[in-house]
Amino acid sequence: MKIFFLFSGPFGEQIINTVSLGGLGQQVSGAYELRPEQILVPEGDVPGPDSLFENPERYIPADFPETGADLLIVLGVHGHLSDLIPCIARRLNVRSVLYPIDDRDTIPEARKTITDELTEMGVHVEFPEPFCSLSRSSDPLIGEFLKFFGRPVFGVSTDISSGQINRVEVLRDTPCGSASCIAGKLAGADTNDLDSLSRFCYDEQHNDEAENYCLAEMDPRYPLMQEAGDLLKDALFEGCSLTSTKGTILSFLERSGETGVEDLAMQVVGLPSGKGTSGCVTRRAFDLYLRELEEEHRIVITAQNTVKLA
Amino acid sequence: MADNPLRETAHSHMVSVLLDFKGTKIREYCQSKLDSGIDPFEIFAELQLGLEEIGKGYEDPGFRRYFNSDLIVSGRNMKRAIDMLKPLIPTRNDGKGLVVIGTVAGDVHDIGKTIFAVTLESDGFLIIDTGVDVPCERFIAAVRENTPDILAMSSLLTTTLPEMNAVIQGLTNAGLRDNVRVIVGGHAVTEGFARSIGADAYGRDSIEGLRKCRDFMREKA
Repeated sequence: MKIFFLFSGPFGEQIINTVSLGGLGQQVSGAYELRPEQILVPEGDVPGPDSLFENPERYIPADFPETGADLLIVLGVHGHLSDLIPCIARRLNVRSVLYPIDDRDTIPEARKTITDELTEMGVHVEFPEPFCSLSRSSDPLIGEFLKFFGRPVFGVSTDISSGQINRVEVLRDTPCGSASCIAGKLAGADTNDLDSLSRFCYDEQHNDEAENYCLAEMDPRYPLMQEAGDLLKDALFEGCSLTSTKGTILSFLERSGETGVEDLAMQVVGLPSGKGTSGCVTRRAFDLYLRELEEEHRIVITAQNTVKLA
Repeated sequence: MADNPLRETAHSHMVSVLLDFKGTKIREYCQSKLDSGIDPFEIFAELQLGLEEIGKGYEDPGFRRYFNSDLIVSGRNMKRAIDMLKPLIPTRNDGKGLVVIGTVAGDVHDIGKTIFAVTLESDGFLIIDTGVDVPCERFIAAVRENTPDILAMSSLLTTTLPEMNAVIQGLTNAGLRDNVRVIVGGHAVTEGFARSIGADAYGRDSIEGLRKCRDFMREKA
């Protein structure tokens, strides 16, 4: 598999760095930084940005490399430039496109059009939001990428008598590399003190003093960074065989029977980690977990917006 | 097309240095400037222009060209620059005045406050930096214990603006308000807000803040 990165800014740089150093370096066929100022400032006979969607091919920068790839990963490119993606995919002759959204301003303006165009070309496309929520794919190329990067997975060994963490193995790193950074700091942490363990995860995940940290949007109205923190905390808790948010949801349903989705969300979102329970910070993560539990046939969500164990 | 915000500007190089996520460019930039004999404070001021450009690009209602990730990384790099340059900026401590400074409770933004502190310090003010997320009582205690000439408070979040009002009220209740001038600033603060809570001044940026602090000291003398 050959990977090509189309990126912009430090968000993209950090991921390219992590992917290149974290096991897929040999597969990277190239990277190109695409910034709005390269495209949206009319020069010479090139018309203004309004015609970008009409004739995107014309806007591909002259210095765009002549190379090929199987998988195109689009990182932090401004949403206004998204019309270029199908042309670039064609130019690179890729079979799959991974287009993560970690900031509202990178949401492609014409997501449906792009999807339709790529699909027509026989190119598979996915838009994980945030990138580290990506955990499965029907596409073999994205599946190959997922062996290394995506939703974090930890293998943890603990001292049975003290409950202290001995060693943490990162089975799948977050694309930003924060999971690996945190794993390196967990030796000696007490798995009996769930609140501290949970807080450590959330704090370290966006600790800008660390070598790698989450750069997703943190606006409370679009809390992608906070959702990424939930995914990381729950991955660690699962690695430690502690109750994660999903386990907490199932326990609530076991005790209370059929419950309204909103009532359940009120119980779980914001619930601190304690003995046998652990909630999530964001509603986004709660909704994701609920969808997954439904797909795993462990719960049923009814037409009346209630939820019960399957 | 001269007013197109996407065109290259005089600060474009500083912007690219500030957006380097590895932090190597900022160190190289500072070091090369220092090696050419440029005053550390001047380097610091140049970088502020780059930081301002990123801030403007983030806030541009017509076309947001910098994202959350750019703000985080540029802030981190500015911290690296401060760590490198601050020890080289002579703290004159020539008795210009004593300033207690901090970011109000509920807000952990550090950069703007630190830039202002360094700017004041390099001008001869003595600084007591109380840090970020500073509760009202800690500001009041710092004023009581240190009897500063000026209290400077920063807030970048509109949700934490009431904290500034609480501190000023707390100073009044503690009988300390008449002895200290209060200046407020930060992204969430406006001149009108500063007036409405009874602050003595509003600093739009560190340079304007410095000018107002100098004015305070002149009035006092």
